[in-house]
Formats: sequence, structure tokens, C-alpha cells
Amino acid sequence: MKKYHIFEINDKKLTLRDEEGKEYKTEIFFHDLEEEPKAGDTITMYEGLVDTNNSDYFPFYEFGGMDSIYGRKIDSDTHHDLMILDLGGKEIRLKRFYG
Amino acid sequence: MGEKKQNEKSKSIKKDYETIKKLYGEDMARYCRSNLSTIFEIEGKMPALLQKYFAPVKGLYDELKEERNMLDRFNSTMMAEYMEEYLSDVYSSGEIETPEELLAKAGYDLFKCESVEDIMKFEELYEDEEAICTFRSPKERLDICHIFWAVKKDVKNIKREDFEFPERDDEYGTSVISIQFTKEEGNRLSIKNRYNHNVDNCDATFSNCLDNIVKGLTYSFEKHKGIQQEFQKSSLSLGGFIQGEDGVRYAFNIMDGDVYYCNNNVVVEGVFGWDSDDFKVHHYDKARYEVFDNFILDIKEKRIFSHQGAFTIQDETFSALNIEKCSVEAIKGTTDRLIKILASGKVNIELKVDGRGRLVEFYGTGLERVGDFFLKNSKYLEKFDAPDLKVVGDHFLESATRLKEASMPKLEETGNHFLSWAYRMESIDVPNLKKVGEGFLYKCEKLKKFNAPMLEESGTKFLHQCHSLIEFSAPRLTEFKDESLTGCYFLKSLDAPNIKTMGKDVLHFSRSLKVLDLPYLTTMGDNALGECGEVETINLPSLRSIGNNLFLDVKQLREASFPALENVCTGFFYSANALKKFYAPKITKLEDNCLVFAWSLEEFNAENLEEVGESCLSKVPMLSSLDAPNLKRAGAGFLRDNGLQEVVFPLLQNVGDSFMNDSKELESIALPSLEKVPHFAFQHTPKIRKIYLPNAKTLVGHNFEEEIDEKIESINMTNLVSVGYRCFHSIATEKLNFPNLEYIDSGCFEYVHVNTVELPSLVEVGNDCFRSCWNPIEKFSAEKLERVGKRFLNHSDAINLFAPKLQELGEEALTVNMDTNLASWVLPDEVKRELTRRKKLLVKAEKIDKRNFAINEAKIKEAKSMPNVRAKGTRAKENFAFGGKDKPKNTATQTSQESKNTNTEIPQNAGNTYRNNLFNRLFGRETKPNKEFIEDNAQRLFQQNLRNEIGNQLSEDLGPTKKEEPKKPQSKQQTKHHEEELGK
Repeated sequence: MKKYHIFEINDKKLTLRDEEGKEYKTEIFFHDLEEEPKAGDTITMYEGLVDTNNSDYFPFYEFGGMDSIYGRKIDSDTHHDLMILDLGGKEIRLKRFYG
Repeated sequence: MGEKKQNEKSKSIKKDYETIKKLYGEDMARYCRSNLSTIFEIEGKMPALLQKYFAPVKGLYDELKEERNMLDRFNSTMMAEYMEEYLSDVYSSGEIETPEELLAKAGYDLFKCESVEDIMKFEELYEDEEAICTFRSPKERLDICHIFWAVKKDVKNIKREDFEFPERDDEYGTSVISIQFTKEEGNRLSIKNRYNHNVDNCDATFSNCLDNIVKGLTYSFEKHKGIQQEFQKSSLSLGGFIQGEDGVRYAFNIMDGDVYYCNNNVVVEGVFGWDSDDFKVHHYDKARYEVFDNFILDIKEKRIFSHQGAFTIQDETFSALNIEKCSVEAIKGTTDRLIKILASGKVNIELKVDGRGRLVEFYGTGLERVGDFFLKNSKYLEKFDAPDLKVVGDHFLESATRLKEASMPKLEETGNHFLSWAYRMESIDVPNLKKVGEGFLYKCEKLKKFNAPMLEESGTKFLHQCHSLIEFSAPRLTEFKDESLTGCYFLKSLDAPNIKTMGKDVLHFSRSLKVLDLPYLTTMGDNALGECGEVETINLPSLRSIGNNLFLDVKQLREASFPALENVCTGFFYSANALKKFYAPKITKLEDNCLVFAWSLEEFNAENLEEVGESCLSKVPMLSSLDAPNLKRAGAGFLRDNGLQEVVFPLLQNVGDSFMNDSKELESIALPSLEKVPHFAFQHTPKIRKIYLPNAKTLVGHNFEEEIDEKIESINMTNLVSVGYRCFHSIATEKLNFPNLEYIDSGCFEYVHVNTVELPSLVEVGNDCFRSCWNPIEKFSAEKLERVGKRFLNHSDAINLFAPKLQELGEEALTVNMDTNLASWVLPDEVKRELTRRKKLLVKAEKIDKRNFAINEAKIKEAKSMPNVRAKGTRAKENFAFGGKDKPKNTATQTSQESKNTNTEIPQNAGNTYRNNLFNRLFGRETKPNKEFIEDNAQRLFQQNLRNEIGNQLSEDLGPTKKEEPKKPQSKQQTKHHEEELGK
């Protein structure tokens, strides 16, 4: 799991920066959120999702509520499907949707 | 296709299959044929592609399978390679069927989705818990993807319940697939699985390769749907493989610094910190060289060497051999080889090497000595036999994690880290071994027996963490250095009778050891024999000095005798639950935490003991005999919670807090040298009867606190000058006589039973002293008393009080009641006048209240006769009855429904409840008062204390304003109203 800062967000397209300053571009659909992420917020997620060489890589992803039927049951804080959003100090957990 | 072509095709497939099988193993061949059949159709293509990426190595399939998603990555890379070449060929041919036609051949119907409704039609084909998230946001998905659905024609016959163990590409998972291409990013393909997230990599069904469904489908989508895919090659970095500058990945056996020894006589020389593009690949000619482990045999030059890298440590042994003859032979029926070496000095070595160039067996006669790092990297070695070997250097066979057998019958001396990490070795025969270095047999987890009859010297971490070791014998060994035999959980037999010294952590965690017989042992380091829970018998007659935490947690040992022991560090016998007797006549000092939680300890004999640290001998409830007559100093918590009845320490001068705290059996104490009694000393000692502390000047606080069951017969503290907070709380004694006592802190002598109190030197008393004494004090004499704090003698009866110099009275101090005979109190005039005034107020208040009480009693009776109606005017009484809490408003009449919901019934024991609550409220006591006491004294309490309360209230009200005092009634009506007002 790695922490990324949302440097820029334009509709669903995100530009992320890790703590070394490296940039990544991805597209994420967020479901079940009352408040949408914005620039300056942080995302902690599996680093393979933004690694184009990783077999898990795909140009876009969908994340939503932990109880949703569209993803796996998350049983640890290091699960590859877990995403931790920090929206201005408020921590929200989402899981990856598949299909 | 014609029969001839068919045959040719079968032959080429078979040929490629055999080639792959030969180079990479049958599993790899089978896998490629099943999953990459498209590539197989082109003769020679699959083997060529494989060799482009991987140097031949058997077992490649297992390596790929072990790494997460690596097979998918492999597939996609192979397909990407193939498609690049294939598509360029197909472009030129031009003809291809439509995707619908191709998929129909594979048994699918294809549907294109143009709207949300098109997508949602397929939702019913999925199980509820396996629905794909396309259905969650179909509109958004349509915006970014081209969406198709392929559904098997016989989908109705493919039932979920028939697939108990889902696999992604099985019949159910692929019976309904959503084929989605991104509109950006090179039309990236994702094939969604019918199981969805219940299988791994569910969004990469058929490895996201359309040609895996049916050949030609990728191009067909491009030609007929206008969707041209970009193919992604994935990273194929695999553990145990190193990529050279040629782009090929080589499986390596040994990594020695920056040099990778691979199979097939290949050595890859890395450059530390550089990319693999610069890693040089050396192919050693098989006709001349044989590469095994990290060695290279030059058959022509008759020498063995290692490839020199920047960090390579050269082995001295092989390279020093003067080889006269050498050969390499294949072993029939296997891929193994036998290397035979004949060197000068009658050295004859045979090395068995497996098909991958890994040394698996070593046999060498005539070899007497090997240097440092010999076979240090030989992690695949299973057998080692060197019948003439006498001396080995450091790091010998240090990585031999697969070694099962080692025979060195003449071995006499080893360096450091001999056979460390030989996990699988179960036995070793070293009858002549005399000296070993550090880390000898470190972590040989399966070793069960060790017998070294000639061993005289060992290093640190000797047989460390040999978890299975049961028997140990080294009768000549005189020292166990630090961390020797640590973690030998099953060690039962220890034969080392000549051991004189033990270092740190020796035999720590030897949980199965029962007998410790070391007659010459003089010194033990920290944590030695820690957590040896099963030790029952110890024989350590020579033991003089020990480190910390010795015998920590020994649970079976009942007797411990240390006739020679002089120095003891912290934690000695901590939690030795079964220990009954302890004998150490020579020890003079116990450090902190010795003999704590020795639940069973009955006898303690340390006649020369002078000093003990903190918490020593605490939690020893069975202790009945303590022999330490020379004890002078004790730390905090000493003898806390013990079973002693009598304690005599004639020389004890200094003790720490909580000394003798919680000593439930203690009856008598005699500490003639003690001057200061610290915090919590003698707290919770209910049976104390005799206290002899003639030289004690100070009680710091919480001493002799909490209810003492027995009457204290004598208290000799004639030199006591000051008493700290909450001392002598709830004690019972005839007389309190402290001739030199000058100061008493708050909370002292509360709830005492005492007849006479003589404190001729007392000057000042804090709050709550002598409060609520249980019986009247016949005589209270304090001729010098000047200042008393709040509630002094509150709720206590002092019949004769002599305090002629009393000047300052705290709040509620010296409460008077109706029975107080002020005439018998000798006090300054001012004080006496004030007390007289208070008594007068009480008399007045009693008259008023007697009347009110009678009225309330009548009303209660009346209310009882009307059970569903709350009686008027009873509110005040109820308030008292139920602790003064607010209750629902009175109503003249109530419906039966309301009456169910409100508490209208006056309880039978309202009177007693009233008195109990009053008692608690006024006294502020948490514990329930004695029932008999209340019944005997209810009337007196009621009068005395209620008067006090009302009297105080009225005395505050007396003054010019008198606003709240009701007017005198002038008529019956007004009388009734007035009474009601007062009743509130």
C-alpha cells in the first residue's frame, strides 16, 4: 500500500503524486461517497494499480462502499483492493469493484 | 484443411512440444499448448519465443506459477509478441470472418451494447453476489468503453451450483463474458468473468486475449468493428532469475556477491547498482568447463576456481587443490553428473551435481583440512562425507539448509558458524571434536542428539535454537558461553557435569529439562535457565554469583538450596509458583523482583541477608517462616501479600512503600529500629493486634488502614510525632496514647472504636479526623490542641473532651447533638459559647420536626389505604424515601392506565428506606450501614442528624432578612398550609 496525493483531479481523471514526487495518471470512479475527493486529498492504495507494468494495471478503476456486492470482502489493512481516502482529515475506506 | 496439411501441422506441434519439454520441462510444454495454442500453430514460434525470454531450465512452469499473476503476464507478453508479427501477416491477406461468425464457431452469441438498457438485460445472468460493477454505473461505462457481451448458446444448461470450486476460465466463468475495450488508451481490452471477484484476475478472462477464445478474433474486431488493440508486454521479472544484457532471463543457482551462477554453464556478472542491460553473460564451454554451485572446474587446466566479481570471496580449499586428474561423467538414467577429482596428497573427491548444476553430494577422502568459506553457498547439498577431515575454517557449509547427513568422524576443530542453518540435519557424529567456534550448529532445528565426548571448548550460540534437541552430552566441557543451548525446547537430558560457568541466556527456554545437576557451576549469566518450567531438581552447590532473571518462571521446582550463593541480581525466581523452601545462607542482598509470585513459598532462610530490593518476596501468601534477622534495608513492596503472622526485624531501618501491605494473617509486628513508616505500609492487615514501633516518628500515610477485624491489643509508638493521611482508619483499640504526637493529617482515626484518646502534644489535626467513631469516646484529652480541620469529631460522641487551647475549628467540627453534655467539655469560652448556641438551635428544630414527622407518618398511612392514588402532601416524604429524586407531579385522581405507568404505590418499608437513605446521604458513606445499628439507632440518628442539618440551615437563615421562614399560622387553614410548606 502506498500513499498518493491528489495533485489534480478532472472529472474522474486523477494525477497522483507519491511521496518521492513521482506522478501517475489514472482514472477512478468513486461510488458511495457523500463528498468527492479534490486536489490536496490523499489516497492510500495498492501501488500496482498505477504501475503500468503490473498485471493488475488497467486504465480505470471503480471503488465504492465496503459492504458492496461488487468487490471482495476486505479483511486486512494491506488488502490490495482496499483504498483509504483522506478527505481533509476525514478518513473513508473504499474497496475495489470488479467487472 | 487437407489431410496432408493436417498431418504436417500435427507433426510441427508435436515437434515444438517436444522441444519445449526438453528445454523447460513437460509442465511448461503442456501449459503452452493449452493456453497459447494460437502460437503453437506456427512451427518453431513457441520455442523461439520462450528462448527469447528464458534460458532453458527445467521447472520453468513451477517458477511462473508461484509468482502472483505471473502466468497471465507471461501469456499476455507471449501473445503481444505473437500478435505483432501475426497481424502484420494478416493485414496482407485481408480476409477475416466477423466477430459474430467467429464467436459462433466457439459457441457464443455476440451482442453489442449501445444503451443502458442493452447492458442491464444481461444482469439476470449473474448471481447476486457476483454481479459485475458495469451494472452499477452502466452509463458511465458506456461513456468510456465499447461494450460487448458474448453469451454461450447453451447458457441455460450451465448452472452455478455445478461449479463448486470456481476457476476463472472454466465453463461457467466463460459462459457469459463482457468484452470491453477502452475508447482511449489504445483500446485496452478487459474480458469480464461471470464469477466476477470470486476468482483471481477476473477482469482478464482468457488472459485478455481474444485469440484465446477463437483464433483471429483480435483482428476480426479490428477489421469489422474498427477496434484496434495495442498489445502490452508485461514485466517478467521472476525471483531466482537474472536478466542479462541479451534480454534473456537465466535461472541462477547461487548468487555470490554480484555473480550469478546459472545452469547450463552460464555465469552472469552483475554490476552492483547498474541495470541488467549491462549484466555480462558468460557461457562456459561445456567441452572444457563444468560449472557447479559457485565453482568452475576447468577440466583442461585441472583447476577449480570461482568467477571473480567485485564482492566475491574466494574459496581457499578447492583453489588450493593440486589436481592431478579430473573427469565429469553423466549418471545413467538421470540428468545428474559425477565429478571426480584426484589431487595430490591422496585427496580423492567425488561431487554429485544435479541437472541444474547444483552440488548435492560431496564425498572426499584424504581431505584433512578445509579453509574459511568452504562450500559456504552450497545450499542444495544433501549429503557430506569426509572421513579424514580434521579441521574446518569459518562459515563451513553455512547455507546447507538441505543437508541431511554429515559424516566427519575425525573432526577435531571447527571455526565459526559451522553448519549454521542446517535445518534438515537430524544427526551428526563427531566423536573426536575438541573445539568449536561461534554459532556451531546454529538453528539445526531437527537435530535430536548431540554427543561430543571430547569437546572441551565451545563458542557463543552453541547449539542455539536446536528446537528438537533432546539429549546433550559433552562431559568435558567447562563453559557454556552466551546463548548456548538457547531455545532447546525439548532438551531433557543434559550431561555436562564439569560446567563451571554459564553465560547469558544459556538454557533459556529449555522447557523440558527436569534435572539440573551441575556440581561445579559457580557463575550464571542473565536469563540463564529462564522459563525452564519443568525443572524439578537442581544441584548447584558451588553457585556463587548469578545474573538477572535466573530461574524465571520455573513452575515445578519445590526446593532451592544455594549454600554458596552470595550475589543475586534482579528477577531471581520470579514467578516460581511451586517453590516451597528457599535456602541461601550466604546472600547479603537481593536485587529487585526476587521471589515475586512465589505462591507456594513457605520457608525463606537467608540469615545473612541485609538488603532487599523492590517487590522482593511479594505475593507470597503461604509464607509462614522468614529467617532474615540481619535485614536492614528493604525496597518498596517487600513482603507485600504474605502469610506471616509475626514479623520481627530488629535491625530494619529503611523500608519502601507498601511494606507488609495486604498481609492478611499478620498479627504482630516488631520493628524497633524503624523510624519512618512509609506509604501504604501495613495497609489491609485485618488481624493486626500488636504493634511495636517504638522508634517510629512518622507514619507517612495509609498505614493501618481499612477495617481491622480484631481489636488491637497494644500500640507502642511512643516516639510518634506525625501521622500522615488516612492512618489508623477503622481500627479498634481501648486506648490511643501517643505522648509525642504533634500533628495528624486528614482522614486519620476515622471510624475507630476507642475509649480513651490521650494526645498531650497534639497541636494540629487535619480534616475528617476522629469522624464517625463507632462508640462514644469516654475521654479525649489534647491539652495543646490548637487547630482542628473540618468535621473533627463529627458524628462522634466525646463524653469528656479536654482541649483548652483550641482556637480554630474547621467546618462541621465538634458537632453537638441533643445528648451532648457541653458542661463536661473543657474548651475555650468562645468555642463553648458557639457550641451552646448550636445546641439551642437544635432544640428548636427538633420541636418543629417532631410535628412534621407525625404529620408525614399519618399521610403515609392514608396513602397506603388508597393504593392507586398518590396521597396529597406526601411528596416531601417520598423525596426522602427515594433519595430526594424528582418524582411525577401529584394528581388528585389518575386513570388506571396512568397509574400503571407511574409509581404510585408507597413501599411497605418506606420508613426504613427513609432512614437508610438519610443515613447514607448525611454520612456520605458508600458502604451500606449495618442493619442492626440502624435499627437500634434510627431514632437517635434521625433526631441527631436531621436536627443538625435543619439546625445548620436555620442558623444560616437567622439574620436580618429571614426571607424564607414561613409566617406563624393564624388559622387552621393557614396552619395546614404552613405545615405543608414546612413539609416541603
